[in-house]
Amino acid sequence: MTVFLQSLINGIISGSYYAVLGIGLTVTWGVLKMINVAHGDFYMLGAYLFYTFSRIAGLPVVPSIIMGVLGVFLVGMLLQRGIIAHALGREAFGNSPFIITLAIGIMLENIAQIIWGENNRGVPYFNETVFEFGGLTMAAQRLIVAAIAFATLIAVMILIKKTRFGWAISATAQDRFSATLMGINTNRIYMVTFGLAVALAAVAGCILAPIYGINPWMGGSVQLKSFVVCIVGGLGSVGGSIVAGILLGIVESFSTQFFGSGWQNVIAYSLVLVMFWVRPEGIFGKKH
Amino acid sequence: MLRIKNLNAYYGDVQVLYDVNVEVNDGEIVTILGSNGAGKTSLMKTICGIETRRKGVIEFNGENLINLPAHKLITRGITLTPEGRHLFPELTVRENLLLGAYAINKKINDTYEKVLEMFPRLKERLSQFAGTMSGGEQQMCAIGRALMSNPTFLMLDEPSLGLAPNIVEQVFDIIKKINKENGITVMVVEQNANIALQTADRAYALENGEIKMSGDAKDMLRSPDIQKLYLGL
Repeated sequence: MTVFLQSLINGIISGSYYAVLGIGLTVTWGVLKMINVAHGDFYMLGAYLFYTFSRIAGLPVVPSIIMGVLGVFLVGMLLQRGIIAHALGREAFGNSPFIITLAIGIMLENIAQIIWGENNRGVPYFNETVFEFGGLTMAAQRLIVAAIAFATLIAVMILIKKTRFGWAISATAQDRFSATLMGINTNRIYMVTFGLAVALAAVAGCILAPIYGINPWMGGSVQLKSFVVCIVGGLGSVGGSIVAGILLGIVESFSTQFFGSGWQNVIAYSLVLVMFWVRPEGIFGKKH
Repeated sequence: MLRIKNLNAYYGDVQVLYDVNVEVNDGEIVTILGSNGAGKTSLMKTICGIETRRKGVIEFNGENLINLPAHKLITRGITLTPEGRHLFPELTVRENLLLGAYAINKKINDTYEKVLEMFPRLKERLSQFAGTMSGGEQQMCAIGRALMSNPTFLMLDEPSLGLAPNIVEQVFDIIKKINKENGITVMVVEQNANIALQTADRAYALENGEIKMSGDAKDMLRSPDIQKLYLGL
């Protein structure tokens, strides 16, 4: 029972940041109709900026996170406006956003390597406490991660469902032509949405840096996990990503517990295959 | 109110409008007739500045709109209800209507109440997803959404498309009412020439991207050419 509960809690905690990562990717797909294969690299960039502000500049943790996320938000908007927007406007360039974001990803990894070197960098835990409770152990850092992740998810839901700007994002996602007629500057929505999406990856990068360390290639596995969440949840579905993220976290956690950590990824990607087989549009996806 | 002079439009290298001249005066209902592929929708989109590349003059109340970005058009008092309605299918009727006033900074409560008064059916369906309504209700919602910005000039692209004949009549009655009671100038593009000519004050006939004929709607209704081309008589 304790083992079961421990696995469940671990799963929900991992699931919370998988959901944050997945939402970023799924929103990019839903609004800009493109796949961002550099999503994981913005996660990496967020972690490095956090490291720079907190370890090198010596700022406290919270402002460092805020500035790291803000920095990635700005870089994302700049890259969208400067590079990606030009490709999205051309019909003959059907797959170009894919190639362009691939290039952006490689570029970010190399820039990180030049600036921060290839050695692993670390940041200390936000809080070193370890709670023990009825046989369960839980590092405070992991609880902080889950708390920030869930707060981020709630903030995203409120932004999309309750604000004027969120409506404009939904409208643009559902019908760009019509959104333009309503007076929505859809180019601006594209830019800001892309910035917000990669900023979500940066949130995850900042809060996970103390646990997993920082190196230029840390985004790779995160990229794949984000894809899994998007596909299982249904591409473009925010609610689907939350459910799928938490589901992935729990499945991984239990498979590690019962089959060993070597099987973790096998099980996770099998989930995608099963999904393709049973319900290709994802849990909350639309049939086309 | 609206004066279009020598308007040319292109999709890539393909020209779709050739030296189009159209004038709409304050308070009028003007209809643009044309068969499938004549360039009616291209004309609407070109006036809005969407999709096509354009050359010429689009003068609205003295201002040339040719370089105005599409999303600014609504701030000049122009709205379009596009062909196929283009509601936001996964937003509620209420959200669709409120988005119609997205660009308007003023208080919109009065306009919202007026629109709901005009379309009682929408009032019953405020919290329903727009995509789940019938075609007629969707058209009402699209027109209601366009009215939310308090336009002075309303463009409608094929409002009768896919609707049952009695619903088409209702839609055109509403268009007339909007014109007479709210004083909104209307330009309507229609394949259903009969009802369009009965509703409109003046008409233009567009074929292969060129204006072929224009005149008083009542005269056009009796013109043998129009009868042969558009009325199937």
